[in-house]
Amino acid sequence: MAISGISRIALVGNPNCGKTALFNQLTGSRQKVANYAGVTVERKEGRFTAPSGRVFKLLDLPGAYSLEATSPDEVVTRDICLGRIPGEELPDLIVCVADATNLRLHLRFVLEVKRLGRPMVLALNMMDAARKRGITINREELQRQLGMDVIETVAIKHDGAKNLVAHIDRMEVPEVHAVTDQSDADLHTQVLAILASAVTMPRTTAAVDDAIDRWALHSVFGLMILAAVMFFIFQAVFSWAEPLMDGISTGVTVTGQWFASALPDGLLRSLIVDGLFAGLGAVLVFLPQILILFLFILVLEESGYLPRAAFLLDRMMFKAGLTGRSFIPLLSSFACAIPGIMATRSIQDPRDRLTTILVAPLMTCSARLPVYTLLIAAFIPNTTVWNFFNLQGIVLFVLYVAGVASALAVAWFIKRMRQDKSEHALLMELPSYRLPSPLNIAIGLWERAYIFMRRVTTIILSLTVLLWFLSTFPAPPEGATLPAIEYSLAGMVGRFMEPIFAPIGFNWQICIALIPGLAAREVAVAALGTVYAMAGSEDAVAAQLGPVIAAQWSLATALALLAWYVFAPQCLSTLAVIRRETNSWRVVAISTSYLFGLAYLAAFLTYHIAKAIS
Amino acid sequence: MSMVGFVQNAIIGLVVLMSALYVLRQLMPKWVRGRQLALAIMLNQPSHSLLARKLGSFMTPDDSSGGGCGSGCSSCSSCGSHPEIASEFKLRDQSEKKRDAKVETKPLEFQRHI
Repeated sequence: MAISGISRIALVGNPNCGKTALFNQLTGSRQKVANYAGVTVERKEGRFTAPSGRVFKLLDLPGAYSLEATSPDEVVTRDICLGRIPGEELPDLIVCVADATNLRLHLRFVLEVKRLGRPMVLALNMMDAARKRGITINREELQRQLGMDVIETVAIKHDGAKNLVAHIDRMEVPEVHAVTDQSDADLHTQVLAILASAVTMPRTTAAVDDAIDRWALHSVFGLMILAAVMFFIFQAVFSWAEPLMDGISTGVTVTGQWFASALPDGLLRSLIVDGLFAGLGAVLVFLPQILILFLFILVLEESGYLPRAAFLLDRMMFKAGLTGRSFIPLLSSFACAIPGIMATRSIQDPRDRLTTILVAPLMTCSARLPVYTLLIAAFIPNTTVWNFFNLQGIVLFVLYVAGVASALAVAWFIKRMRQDKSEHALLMELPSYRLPSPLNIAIGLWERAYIFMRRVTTIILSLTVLLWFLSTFPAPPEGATLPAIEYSLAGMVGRFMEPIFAPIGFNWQICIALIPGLAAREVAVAALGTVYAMAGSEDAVAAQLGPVIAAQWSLATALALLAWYVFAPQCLSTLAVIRRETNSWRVVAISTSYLFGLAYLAAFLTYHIAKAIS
Repeated sequence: MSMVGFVQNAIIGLVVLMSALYVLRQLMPKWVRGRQLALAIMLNQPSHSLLARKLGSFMTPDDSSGGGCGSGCSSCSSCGSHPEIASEFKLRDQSEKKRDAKVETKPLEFQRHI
């Protein structure tokens, strides 16, 4: 079979061997990479042009431990390698990527793929890490033993895949291997024989990993370290972001005031000042906090600590009806529930997967952060507790813990409901610790900032404009004494909803904000900014929404709204992804009703308890 | 109404209309695609004027629209879903017909010259 024109190359291999890093290196894409298994859960397609001018089509497939797929993401890899997907051609060449520091595990999959008899090349990745650990690999011997070309790569380094590209570029007629039928035991024996003849390893694990893990995986100290790390993150989110937030707030205020004075009085001025500046400005100030949170998440992802956290929490998660495998999807949900729900594809048991999907929206996604911090900054004093901890940071930490605790409680309830007594042992690879690359972190933060700004300038902007329109029309009647918004469509809707939400302390302005907030949670902040600006609160125009709501709401109302946002599925996209991933409207209905039910109950209890105490 | 007032109202009308269309496309991509296609077909009739037909061609949605998460989230870069994933995940109330009706979305594509 000659490779000519565009030929299809598939990247396969065990999870966390660097396939996506190699894919990014070759295609120039920026797909998410992290130092743990299960980041890629579906195929990605790209192209690259080799120095000769030949164009190759590259497929990045989810990691798999075996072609006998046990989870939905492994199914994708298996079916593409076997040509089982209608309309999807068999790859012309399989590039099997293996971690050079962990050949004992990875070679087994290499041999399994070789059994398919497809043209194949082995990319021996992470060769720099292998050399650092004193691992020597006799490449010629490995090639001879495996019966295929072996190319060394370092996917995370610039030009780290140069040799692989040159090799593929030179290939004309890839060698087709004979289809063999070996048992798993045969494969294992063969791996041991290859390792004995071609690889010298001073130790099976890195000494530094063992030293760190002695503490990080300790049943007591490990949990204490994890709690301290999480606590520190939320303290930093509040303490470090303040100067930057003040800077943005001042910038928005000054620009808003300039527009207010420069434009003639009229509808356009109202749209720009009351709609855009009051609405978007209120959301924009939270960018520093979101970036600080993601700085920590990215560092933890790159370091290899996260799978350790999954290991530490496995016992607790199992008691609650989840498995350690749910940890990574739930952790991804802290950024956004959508990738979190998609990451559940790495969970083998469908019931465990469904439970994880149902509780993933309870994890505190970054879209909640503007709502939380707006209310915390407005109602919780910025004082120091025990001479060290920031009280606002503690409240934020408690809200995150409340999300996790409620997810565990719901999972436990589901386990009880289905009377599941089965045990699912956690088998998880703990990757080597790695120093996070400042460049990767910077790129990751840039992407987060871009995503946030894109949301602000697209969906949040559009909804703010619509809300302004609904808050402006119809115009108040002649001789009206109340603010114009009271006579508008939005005002009427808010008043209509008020009796339903009055028992949980919400006023009609909050009721209005809840509607556009269904599209994305942070829109609620923009909506409150617009609603109060339209209601005549000039401070809100100047992106100072906090003092306005602090003056108009009671503490009980603010706490009830916080409790509401811990549970409420105020994100239609999440519900759409649940529908897509489960192919069931029933699951969407269950998810929506239980989350809204919990939100109402929590807000009701919080409001009345807070009111009774105060 | 003065000229300034008229221009202001026209700008506001356009901005509100574009915002409404954007929100609809984000939240109900399939529905919007269906309406857009119906309108494009209606305009594209041979009996219509050249201008109407050109407008119809312009309005015809491309194949890749109407799918995706519709969130503007973009955080996972994984809006294109693999059809096998959903069908592998069996729940009691799903029918074969529903599974077969799933439409494969285009995978993400990236390109680089080395």
